Amino acid sequence: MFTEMSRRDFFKKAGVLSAALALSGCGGDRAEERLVPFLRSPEEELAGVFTQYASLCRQCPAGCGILVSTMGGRAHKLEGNPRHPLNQGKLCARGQAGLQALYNPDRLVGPQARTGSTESFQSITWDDGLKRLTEALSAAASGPGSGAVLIYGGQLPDHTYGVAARLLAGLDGAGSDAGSAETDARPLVWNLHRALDGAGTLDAVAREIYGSTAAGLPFFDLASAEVVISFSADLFGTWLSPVYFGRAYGEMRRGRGVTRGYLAQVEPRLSATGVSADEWLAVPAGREAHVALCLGRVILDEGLAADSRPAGVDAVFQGVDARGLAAELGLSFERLVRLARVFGGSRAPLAIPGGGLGAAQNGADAMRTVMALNLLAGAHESTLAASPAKPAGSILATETVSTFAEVARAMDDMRSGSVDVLLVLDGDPLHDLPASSGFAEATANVGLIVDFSSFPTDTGEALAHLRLPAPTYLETWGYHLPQPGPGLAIVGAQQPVVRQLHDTRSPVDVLLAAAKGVGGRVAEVLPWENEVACLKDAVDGLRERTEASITTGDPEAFWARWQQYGGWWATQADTEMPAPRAVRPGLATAVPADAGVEQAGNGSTFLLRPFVSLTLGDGRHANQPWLHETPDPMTSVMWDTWVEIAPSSAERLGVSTGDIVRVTSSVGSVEAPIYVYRGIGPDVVAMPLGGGYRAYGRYAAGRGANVGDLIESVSGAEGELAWGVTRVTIEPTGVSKALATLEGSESTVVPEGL
Amino acid sequence: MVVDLDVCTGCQACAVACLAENNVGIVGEEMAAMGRAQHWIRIERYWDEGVYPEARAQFVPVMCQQCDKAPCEPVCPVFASVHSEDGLNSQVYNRCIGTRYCAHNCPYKARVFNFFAPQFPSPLEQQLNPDVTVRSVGIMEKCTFCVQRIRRVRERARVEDRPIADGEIMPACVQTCPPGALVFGDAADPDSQVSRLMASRRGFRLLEAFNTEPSVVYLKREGGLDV
Repeated sequence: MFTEMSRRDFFKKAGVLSAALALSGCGGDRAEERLVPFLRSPEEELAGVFTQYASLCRQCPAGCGILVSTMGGRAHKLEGNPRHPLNQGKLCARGQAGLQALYNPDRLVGPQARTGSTESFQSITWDDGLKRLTEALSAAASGPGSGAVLIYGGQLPDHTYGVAARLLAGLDGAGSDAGSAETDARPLVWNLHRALDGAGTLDAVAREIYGSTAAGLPFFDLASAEVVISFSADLFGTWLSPVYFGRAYGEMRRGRGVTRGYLAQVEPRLSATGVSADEWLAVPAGREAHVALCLGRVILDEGLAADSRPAGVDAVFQGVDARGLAAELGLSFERLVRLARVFGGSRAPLAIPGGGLGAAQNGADAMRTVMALNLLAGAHESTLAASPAKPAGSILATETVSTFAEVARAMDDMRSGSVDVLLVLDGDPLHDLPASSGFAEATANVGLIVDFSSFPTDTGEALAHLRLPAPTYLETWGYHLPQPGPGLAIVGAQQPVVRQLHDTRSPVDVLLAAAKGVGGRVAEVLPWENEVACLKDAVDGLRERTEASITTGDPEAFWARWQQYGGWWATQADTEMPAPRAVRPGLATAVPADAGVEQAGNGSTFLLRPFVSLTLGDGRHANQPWLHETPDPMTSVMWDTWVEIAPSSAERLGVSTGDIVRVTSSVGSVEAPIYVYRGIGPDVVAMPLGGGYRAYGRYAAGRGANVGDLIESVSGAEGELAWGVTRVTIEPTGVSKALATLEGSESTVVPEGL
Repeated sequence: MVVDLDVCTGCQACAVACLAENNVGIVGEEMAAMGRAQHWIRIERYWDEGVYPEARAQFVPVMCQQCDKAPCEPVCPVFASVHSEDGLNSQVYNRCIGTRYCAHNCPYKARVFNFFAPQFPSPLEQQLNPDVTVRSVGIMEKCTFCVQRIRRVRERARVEDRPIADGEIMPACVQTCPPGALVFGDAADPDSQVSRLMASRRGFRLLEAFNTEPSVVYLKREGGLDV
């Protein structure tokens, strides 16, 4: 690229160039194009030295604190915020990769509207986009009845959830207290990742135990635990808050200087957490909680139950034939007795009700049973507590995950034509909801679909009429109350760490502007000028608390420190915690009639076990190449979706690793390569979420398969999705591929085009 | 460095932290299937004997072991693979002519080769760490123990006229590891945390029989239930 140039020529040209730069104030229009972005550097910026900003990770709903190393106006590295009590300086694989959301080459660069005739998108101005949105919301507000506006998010930052809930309440003509008796209008927050985490079900069970005022997921003090039994929770990979659990696990293993903590994992498919466990108990899918029933029964029989257990908790384990049940589960009774003795005899036992418990229709009862085991063994005295109370006097919102019944109701509303406006504030419902929920056809009757994603999602490409792209989380504001947390009240602070790369606007700013345009009740409940004003108001109440990381009476000083430290947190746990109440018994000890899957050696039908991908999540990260090229911990597969099958079943079907098979359920069919997996039973096949996008940029489009296309929409007993009861058939296609794995590099075939 | 296998959860946080810190290129599915992915640190998963329902496995993070008697060094014809004064096994990119002898000679498969120039479609190039060179086509690369971070700490300590504190230097993988399975420090200082951990009865080195004298000590898993 360099042409021959004499020394004299070089100085001539360099002189002209520097003069031109001086005249134009530094070349290009956009700061990001300049070699040295700042003509006059900000005070804190020193060339060659990183400036770190504290903010929040939003790659998953956990809400870890991050420090972003920036230099010259660019973000170069994400690290955990050592001060943040949740993750204490640690960060997971997905969190590290957030830079590739910010600097993704396939981001939407500005607002767009679909032109009726060509069905393609045309760039529009923000004024035009806001006008269209405001008109649609005004029309919906003046129309008859409520529910004309539907807001969807796969995961919403708490402040965005709060503003969206207020908007819906305002449109309903109700007060500002979203979720109150005045209105049941709430944003729809749901996707397969949340369902597989069982977050909504756990939240509901926690409310039964700690009372309806104790909002939020319980505090699991893994670090202090001596004996932990995890029921289908991929604690260190994907479940709810993997960095918190990973960090706590390190402390638990090192015993805080006393004894090394013990971990047993109960699950149907060996997960990475199962590998870390001291003991792995393989059980049939959907029957993990029956192990808890056995353990509880033995603890009662041996007189190991805690004296402090809430009255009535014994009833959960009444009438259980532990020996018979153990035989049914394929576990040795002696082994369970030994585990029950260790668990019941420990001063700090902890049973974790993982998302896998929600696989079958009895998910809520399964979680109750595991929580009952905690109460029986006295975990509430040592390792289990209610979520800390929301800081008093504040108007902080917390995101609440919807049930699948609410999703189904929303689909019905759309189908019947009663939804005029659908706002997709986050995520990609066309990809992230099971195809069988009927999202695609339900939207046909919606007047206006507005997509706020920063990326060309499947939903945006196929269904949206209007796109008002949001900045990524590294370019915008927010707060988040992590759930589950480390036992302290925390309000994490999110702030922009770089200038916005593109012509994007925060969804909160857009909704506030639209509310002003609609006027009336909507404008009353959303009175703020912009997102920052809304946030300042929301966190202002925190100044009242004295035992906290920031103590200052001055609102501006508080705001500055809140950003500087990456949030506010209590320095002491709440002193008055609600006492636990017993859960109601419910888990049938008998095998559910429909739980009998075909046994091994009997045809090609299997139970489908979807699981959350450690790297891609539910696919949210499928546009981040670092994560595509990070191997799955168990199979080391990169860049693809695979089907895990037991060696004996693979042999029976005549398939081996790399052979592409057609996986068919009653609602759909996908093709994916086989991975012969030793950690799974002969009647089950497992597949990770995260593949099968039609759009979503160059790294995601057309890669892998979407497990959501296979999952039947079966509702559980209490409105949750029974995501683990789908049967599939496996047929070989006769085609094979070289899987990208770390296991050997036998492939010597040079692919076409190279 | 010490790798405590008793707490490693295989979560891959170290692997992505390394990609980000060291500007490691992404090669794509076809190249990765040919074993050309460029991870400087990878988590190997070994199966135990058992099969379902007794299947058990073990994670072992593997990065350059920074051997004292490094087999990669004597085979390099141009001294690109050389020992630094601190005992680091460095790779001088400007000398490397891509013979790949070093990679063939490394028993840990720690070295990766740039078969093609790395691609960073705009604006992904803005993610690059300005402290680390982007390697070009034909160059061998590997884990450096984040030498740029070692340098930064050393310079800061020199300016402030103080010794480097134990644990002050943290390679990207060590810094991010949620359970703290990776520990970095001065093995020559008997009071450092790594020295204490290295003396553990659980300690071993990878492929010790090759006599490569790695600087990385692994601590084997504890286990069993003392009832």
